Amino acid sequence: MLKHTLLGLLAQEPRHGYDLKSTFETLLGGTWPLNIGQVYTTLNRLERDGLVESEVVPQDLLPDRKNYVITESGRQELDRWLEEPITDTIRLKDEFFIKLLVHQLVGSNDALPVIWKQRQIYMQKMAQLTSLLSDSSMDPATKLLIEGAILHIDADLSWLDLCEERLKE
Amino acid sequence: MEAVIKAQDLRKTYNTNGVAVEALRGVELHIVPGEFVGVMGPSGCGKSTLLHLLGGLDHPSQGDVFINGTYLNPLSESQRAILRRKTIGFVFQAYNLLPNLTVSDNIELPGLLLKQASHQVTAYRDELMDSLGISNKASSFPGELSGGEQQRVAIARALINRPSVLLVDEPTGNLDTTSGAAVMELLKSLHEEGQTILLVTHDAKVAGFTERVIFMRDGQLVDEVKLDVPGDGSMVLSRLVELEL
Repeated sequence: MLKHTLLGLLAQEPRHGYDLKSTFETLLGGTWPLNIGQVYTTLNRLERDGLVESEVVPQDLLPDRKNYVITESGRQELDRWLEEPITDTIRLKDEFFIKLLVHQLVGSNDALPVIWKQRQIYMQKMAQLTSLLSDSSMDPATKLLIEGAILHIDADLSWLDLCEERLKE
Repeated sequence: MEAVIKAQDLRKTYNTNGVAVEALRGVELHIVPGEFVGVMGPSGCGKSTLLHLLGGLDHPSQGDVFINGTYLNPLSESQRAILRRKTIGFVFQAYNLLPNLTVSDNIELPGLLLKQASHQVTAYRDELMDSLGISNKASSFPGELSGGEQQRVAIARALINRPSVLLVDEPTGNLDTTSGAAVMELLKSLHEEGQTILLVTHDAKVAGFTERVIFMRDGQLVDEVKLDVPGDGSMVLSRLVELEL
């Protein structure tokens, strides 16, 4: 995901490593702090694969800077990625589900209290996210991210209802 | 603090075709002034029945309801109606506006029914329309408004008699996501100004706006969550990304 976001930023204009780091972080509303080492490792791999090229730019009073430019095959790779839906989007490794299973394994007769506690945590998170939305200066993209998270929690809460119902049967 | 709403061992049984259906099975509720409480549960769990009993629109089969310390059970139908007009504001999923009255007439009607001085009602009506952003619709008819606007009118009407408590039933049920969120923001800001609100919903997104959520199932309250919201939004965001939610 980082790889393609960097390619996207370079498709806008040539940039150097630190510029990529700070633009990326702003774009995600500060939700994903990047390690600069991580950025350079990714850039090196992109360069090895021929997706970007670098040029050294001498500076007056500072050390030389490496500017990265996207290549034609970099653009093709970016287009391919942009057009593809993602397939591994359904979470089937849910820790809470495993917890319910283990409850049965150890013969614990009552998983209801932990369902209730879990519901409280989801509800808390729902309220936190909801309160974030009242910030009218929020970037539209960040708003979509939060609204998406709220819908996920909504689904998780419905699933807990279902778990509770089945356990009672 | 004296409760705005107090319910003790509230029970309601409906008889349909000779079959007794228990809609409420012993509900205890205590709501103090200034609270914003959500009752959440699937449809058929009894939450609308609860709201009707608390608002004096229906009688319990058993149990007691107090509104501002007034014992509701022994009141006659007309005494109830007066208590309702004075102390309770209702907001429903269906806006229940009168189609042949203008927006401003719809809003001031409950005020005039209480035989208040009409200039006072008019002044407060204008203030409400202003703060709810519907002043420019004053002489429109409900049919000319969008769903979100109609719900705002319904909220203004519910507030005209300065009720002790606002009882709200699925306020966003007929609205699209954006106007639904706007209505919830509005209720939240009313709460921040001190309005006591009890809201019932099946929608966790709606309940997320309240500060206390009570979960209801099969006519009983089964769980309760206090939603204190810490101010640090960035922490939440970074956790979100960690959790890949």
